[in-house]
Amino acid sequence: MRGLTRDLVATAAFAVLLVFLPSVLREVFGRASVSYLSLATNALVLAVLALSWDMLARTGQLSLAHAAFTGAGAYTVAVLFKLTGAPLWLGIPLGGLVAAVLALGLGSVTLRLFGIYFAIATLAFTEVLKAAVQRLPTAVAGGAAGINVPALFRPTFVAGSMERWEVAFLRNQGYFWVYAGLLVVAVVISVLIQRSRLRAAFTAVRTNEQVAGVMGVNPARMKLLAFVLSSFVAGLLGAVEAHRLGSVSPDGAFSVHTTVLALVTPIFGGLYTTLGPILGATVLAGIEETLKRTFSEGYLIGYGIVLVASILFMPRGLVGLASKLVKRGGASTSGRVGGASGGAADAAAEERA
Amino acid sequence: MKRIIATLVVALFAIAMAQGVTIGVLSPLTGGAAGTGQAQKAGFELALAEINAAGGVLGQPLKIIIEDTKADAATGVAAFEKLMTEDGVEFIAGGYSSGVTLALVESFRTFQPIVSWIGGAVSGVGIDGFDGIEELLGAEPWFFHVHPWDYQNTEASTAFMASTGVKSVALLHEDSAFGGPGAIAAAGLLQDAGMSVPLVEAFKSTLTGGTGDFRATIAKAAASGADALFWIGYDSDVVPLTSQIRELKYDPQYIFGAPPGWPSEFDAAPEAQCVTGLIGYLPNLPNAEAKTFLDAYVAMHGRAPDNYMAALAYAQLWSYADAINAAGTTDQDAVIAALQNGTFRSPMGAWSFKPSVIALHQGFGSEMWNVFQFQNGVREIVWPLARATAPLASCQ
Repeated sequence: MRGLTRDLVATAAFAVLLVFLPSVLREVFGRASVSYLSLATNALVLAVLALSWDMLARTGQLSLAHAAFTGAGAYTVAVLFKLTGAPLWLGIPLGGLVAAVLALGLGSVTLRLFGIYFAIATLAFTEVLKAAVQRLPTAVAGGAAGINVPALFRPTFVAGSMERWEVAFLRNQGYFWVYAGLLVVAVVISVLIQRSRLRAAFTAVRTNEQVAGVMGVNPARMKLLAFVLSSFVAGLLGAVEAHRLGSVSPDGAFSVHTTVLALVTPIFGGLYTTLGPILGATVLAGIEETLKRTFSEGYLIGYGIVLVASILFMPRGLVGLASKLVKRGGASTSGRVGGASGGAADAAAEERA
Repeated sequence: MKRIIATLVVALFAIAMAQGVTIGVLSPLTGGAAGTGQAQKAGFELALAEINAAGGVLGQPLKIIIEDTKADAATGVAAFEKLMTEDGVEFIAGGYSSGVTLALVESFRTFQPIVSWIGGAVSGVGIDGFDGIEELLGAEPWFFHVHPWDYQNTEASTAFMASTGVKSVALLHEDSAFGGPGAIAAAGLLQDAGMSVPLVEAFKSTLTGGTGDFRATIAKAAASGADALFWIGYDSDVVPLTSQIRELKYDPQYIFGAPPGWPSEFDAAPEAQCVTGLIGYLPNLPNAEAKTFLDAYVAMHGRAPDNYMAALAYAQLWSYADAINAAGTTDQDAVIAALQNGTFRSPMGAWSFKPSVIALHQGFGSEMWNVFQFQNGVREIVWPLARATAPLASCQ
């Protein structure tokens, strides 16, 4: 219980930090804060995507359907607005719910599959959903061209009392706060999982389903719960993205690129943790932008090398590396050497992070 | 006092002028559309070298800052905001992908720099309930669009088909925002021109995750009995599609494709023989500018351009340089006036911005397009007849 309180307090502090970050950037960088806020927003999007994907990964299931759920969220707001002109903000929670319901349906029939078989089924689901959306009447889903989606924030430029970059700043700040809110929702869900009996249940299912069953854990129910939670957050994310990017189309909304990012980021940051996907998203976004600004040509080669090196030398991601460094520091200061159970203890500590 | 102020203004103006003009470029240098982005970059580099060799812009060397959009909407917006707020540019060039352009609409409207935009060809004209780029930005006085709109591409394709005299056309198209609306428009125009369209069939492009196996789709086209095959897809579909057409011994009178680009290594392949395609620029265009551009391009890059986007980028940067020099200032109103009143150079010949269905400033229209045919390893221009380098040959 003390751990849960500590984590929730840390989450609240993190949320406060995110609330004030735009103002700090504006104070420090002036008009360039527009650009930095845009980059920070992209990092937040990646963090939400990665953390939501990791929630299911904790049960040992590798989903390649994340783009399906972000796409479902995006199309929910787009179709809702196109057909009914409903208030802008209504579509976002609905996007999460539609994604969760789809996950419930898909999970009910596929979560008995293991490993690569489940992955293939989820990949196929993404393609099926994309094809279905493309074949819906154009009056409903816009066909291949897609649907326009109105912006959530459209600050007005007042000539004489502000500069144009300030309008862009206000818009970016609005989206930054919405994505920050989404990340906080995802972190709270993740923390509640990690600090409840669900963590042990998810870990047991991941480690050995048969043994988990003997221990009284219902593997199918646990995986379904993780799948629904994971997809709900992905659906919310897709819904907001539709507003920010101004349109949805089958190609963009159900892009396999989304799924790849959702998978790579938590692996880089540290699987089965709350901190890992967030850290992974922040560092990856930072590395990519830094490389891009330093080497305009071939910067993706450097980015690729970083990813390959991290897989080879950081099997537990950034969180695992940090945990190892902390442990080494502790051992050298206390003069003690870790016991045989050290590795398992480390892993458990990392997972709670 | 007045004299001091006037001197200061002149001094500040001189300092501003001495800094030279910088144009921000947004282009997909990496990612799925990297071929197009790299072609644009090569075209910009050539134009930049020529402009600066000719004295630059307003007496100073012109500078460009190229930002990679990866053809990704969020990346494109961040790149544009960097150009506007960190680099302080006043002119935007480049441009590709309708998805990226739609995401940029709000940001363009916020900053309102002069935007000369090559790609983003989905106009929205003729698509009910969807606002495309022309509908969203076309009426903005600071927006200039270079590449023909999607309906202008389709007009050129169907005009060529009509010129062949075929009675029926089987239409295959990739299933995304590129091929879907294009196929609907093409089917309508072909029928308006008196041709029947017994088959309209979607396929999944290799660019968007397709396997490259088009045999089932081709078999349907063969079964339709149409005189000609018209396909809309991506560059990466060219080789598998045409190879499988030969493999299945499907021999319509004409095979016509409309991908954004054609792989240069395809020219010498036996499957290429008699295939026709739409293209914006070819080195063997009869105008003198095409040859000059080719020679300069080869001298700089060591190879001929294999994507017409290089020619469009070259034309776009030169239009900026000529317009700013004609205006004699970087003042936005003056440069807009110079862009809308000027006539500019390009490898395709002289061009200017004029109104299209909605847009105030549209660069190239359907007249830009040429149809070439692979004949013994050479891309011969076969349409329009005024530019033809060889007569059109039947595949049968």
